[in-house]
Amino acid sequence: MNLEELYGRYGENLYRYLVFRLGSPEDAEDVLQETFCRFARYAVRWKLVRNPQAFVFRVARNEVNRFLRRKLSRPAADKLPDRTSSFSASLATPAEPSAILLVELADQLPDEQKEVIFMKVFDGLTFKEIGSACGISANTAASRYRYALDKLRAALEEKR
Amino acid sequence: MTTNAPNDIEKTLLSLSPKAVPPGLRAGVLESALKKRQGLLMTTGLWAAAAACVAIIAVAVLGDAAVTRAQNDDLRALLNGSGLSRLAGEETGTLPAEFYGEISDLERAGLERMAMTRPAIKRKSLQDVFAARERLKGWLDHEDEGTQSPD
Repeated sequence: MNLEELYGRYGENLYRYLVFRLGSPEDAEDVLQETFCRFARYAVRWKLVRNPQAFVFRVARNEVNRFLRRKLSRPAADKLPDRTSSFSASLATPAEPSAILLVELADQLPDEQKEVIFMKVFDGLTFKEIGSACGISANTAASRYRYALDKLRAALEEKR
Repeated sequence: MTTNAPNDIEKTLLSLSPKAVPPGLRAGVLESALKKRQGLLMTTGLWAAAAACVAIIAVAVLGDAAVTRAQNDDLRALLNGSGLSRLAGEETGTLPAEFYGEISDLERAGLERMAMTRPAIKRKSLQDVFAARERLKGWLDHEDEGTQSPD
């Protein structure tokens, strides 16, 4: 699979995932470039990849972690403010108030649950692929997803 | 455990539209990735060239060492003498084989017998010539008188 084809299939989804993880379109662009540079490096071994979708998300996730580590190791003045992954950074502001409320509540979920929801809902990954991308089992991914939806439901009912 | 409510939440989440991707993102990302790939290919080529050079140098050094060792052995053999005789013995030992090939003992005995009887045969043939000349002596004297044989 060449790089153009790879970008055509996964480029925009990866970009949105990176914006969601990093909260900044500029950082997401940088990390996406790094991710594709890494794909270029892996080009020879690409045939060995069993599940390309899970693989590209895993590589992107690792790049995010590298990027955040680099940022953290810089002097305090250059450090990022404490950021967590956010739905509102990667999604257009919805028109309906109930949807706005849902996004706000979803942003308050723990990071690992938010990540599973984002991958499942917006990138269409299966629980097995999410597990493979995040280094967890498919069952763990499914439970995190279920807990997150339960929490959202409870929070919504509380608000109403 | 899941009820209908989470499904509604899923539907609501699915209805949300993602933010647009900035223009030129694809070109920028692919350009940097392709540059990286070219750099990697060049690096790989340089590594291959370096490995080939190392292999050539190793072959040259080892070959030179082997040739030098052989020359030193020959020189030592010449200077010591013992080695020379050994070498000469090897050379002379192979000469009969070079000339005669691999011959059996019987053939060798035959050749030796032939070599021994050759002078005797030569001597006998000379005696026959002299006897014949003696016998022909009178006939040769009267050769002009007729074609009769002296006997």
